[in-house]
Amino acid sequence: MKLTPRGKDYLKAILAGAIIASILDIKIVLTLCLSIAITAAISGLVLRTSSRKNVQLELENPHLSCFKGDEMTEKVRLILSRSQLVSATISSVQCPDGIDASVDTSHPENLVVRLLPKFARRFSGLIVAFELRDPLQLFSKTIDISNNDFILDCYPAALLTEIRASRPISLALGERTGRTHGTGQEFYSVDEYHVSTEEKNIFWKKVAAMPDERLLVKLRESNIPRTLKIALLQTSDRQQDSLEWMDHACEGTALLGKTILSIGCDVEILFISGREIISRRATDLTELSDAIMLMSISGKSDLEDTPTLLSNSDICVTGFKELQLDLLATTMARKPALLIEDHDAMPKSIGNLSIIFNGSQDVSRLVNSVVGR
Amino acid sequence: MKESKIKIASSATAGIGMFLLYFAFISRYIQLSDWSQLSSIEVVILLTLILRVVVILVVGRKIRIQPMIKIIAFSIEVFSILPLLVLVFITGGTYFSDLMSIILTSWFAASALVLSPYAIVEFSRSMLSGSTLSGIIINATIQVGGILFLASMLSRMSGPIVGLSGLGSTIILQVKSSISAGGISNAGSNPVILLGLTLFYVGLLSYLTLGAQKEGTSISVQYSFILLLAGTIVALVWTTVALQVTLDVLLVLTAPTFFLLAAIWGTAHEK
Repeated sequence: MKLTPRGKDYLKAILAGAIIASILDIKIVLTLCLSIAITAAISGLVLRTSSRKNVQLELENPHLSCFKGDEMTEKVRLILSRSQLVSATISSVQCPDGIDASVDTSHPENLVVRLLPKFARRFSGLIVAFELRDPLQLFSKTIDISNNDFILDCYPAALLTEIRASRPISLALGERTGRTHGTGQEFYSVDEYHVSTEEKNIFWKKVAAMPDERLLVKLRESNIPRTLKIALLQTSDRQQDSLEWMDHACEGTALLGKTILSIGCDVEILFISGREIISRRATDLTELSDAIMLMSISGKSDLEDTPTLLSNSDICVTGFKELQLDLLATTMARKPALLIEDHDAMPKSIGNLSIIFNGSQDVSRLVNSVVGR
Repeated sequence: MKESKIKIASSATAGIGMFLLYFAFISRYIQLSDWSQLSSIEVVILLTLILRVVVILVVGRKIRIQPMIKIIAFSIEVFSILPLLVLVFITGGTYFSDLMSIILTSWFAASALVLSPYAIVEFSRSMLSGSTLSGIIINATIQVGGILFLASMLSRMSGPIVGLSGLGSTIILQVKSSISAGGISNAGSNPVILLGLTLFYVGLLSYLTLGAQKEGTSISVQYSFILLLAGTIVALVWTTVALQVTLDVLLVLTAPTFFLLAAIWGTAHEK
């Protein structure tokens, strides 16, 4: 708790009045000084007993979404339970790193915050600092309240780019597996007969060998995979460069994802969060955007979890720092990979199937290398 | 606006309180004064001082007058003292020393009669013009001390006061005895003085505490008023109880005020 400028003037007034009144023996002024000193003490006590428990923060829209470069506004309101005794004004709003924020303080109890995210990712949390003042405006105290429910999803600009849709032509039938059943020539698996299944696919040899009267059908392989999996691999600490790196990772993943969706396939985004591999399937741009936002907050993972992640993915998104390890560099050299540059790191090796991405490269080569163009 | 209404009401109340003290003084002076033998010098000093106050008031509404100019304008008589002293020294006669005495004492009296209401009006205006609280309370203390002194002085007198110089001489003698007695003596039971002091107290108290209320804030004026009332009641209870133990003003009023000040200052600077 500290004195406001009015509070300092108030105390000086008491001191000066008490000294002069003592010298001139003016008891009425001495009594006045004592009264206003007691009133100030009571007012200070009222403020001292106020805390963040008496204050609630209300956001007009706790979940905002925008594309990179768009400005969003958020209205922040304070609800004070002791509003008739104590006044509260919002003094500042602290946003996560990566967001340029400006605050309109023309209405101190209802603040308008303009947010301009500079990087594609999910931002969460907001810290609001506000000042409480006592009824006589003599004392003030500043309290911070953090609102962890606030989320700002900044989607990569790549989601807005025009992708020329083209279905890959399967020139080499059977050379690559589509990993799902379809209309190809190769055998995929055996399943039970359903009314919708074509009768020509009934596996008569197997049916004859069955002890019961179930009908089994032969499922054929698809030449084009139904789902392509993109994995984010992040095992290094990037500190102040992490925002920029993740921004490029999101942009690259968005480009890849959009390209995959345009050829009629689904996308699955894989990433490690905690010690768990998280998978998010996307069949349209909305689901792709949500999956990328979840991926953006995944954080660093351990090396122990990487083999599973890599083996389950078709395309890997990783950085130069990760490729400083021989084992990883060797593994990635054999896999289609989107490499994000790290300014202070050089990879041990870069495979022919990799593309170095810094925001504007064409990533369709990676997609085609998976579907077999 | 809410802020202006409270400030206007407070400054008006304090001003009316001080005017009541002045009224107690002037009404008593009118009862006791004998102007049958008023000299031409006293008349000139009184009338010119009234004229100077009117001019300053009128001109002051149009342009800002520096305080030094006002001081010089209201104390022109003082500048005549030096030449008169020289003349006294040169001639050695009593005429110039008597003249000097009449000018000074008449000027004291005329200032008490004419400048007091002017000062009260200027003080009330300063409460509305955004002066600092410390400046206001210093100004208020000196002014109320001066007017209370004049009112108390005449309330205890019974004999006639001859002319302006008689009032001036009385003022000088009473100032000397007040200094040796250690302060302004009690106003006694004069109801006008008591009412004036009460209004002054209430006006200044509400100005210093409620004067910070701003329109548009959520703070309720009623709650602030309750706070103010609580402070006043605690002060009065303390004073009543402490007076049962000792009559020393230092222990009853001054020391607790300084102690509270130190406590407030100390807690407001806690880390």
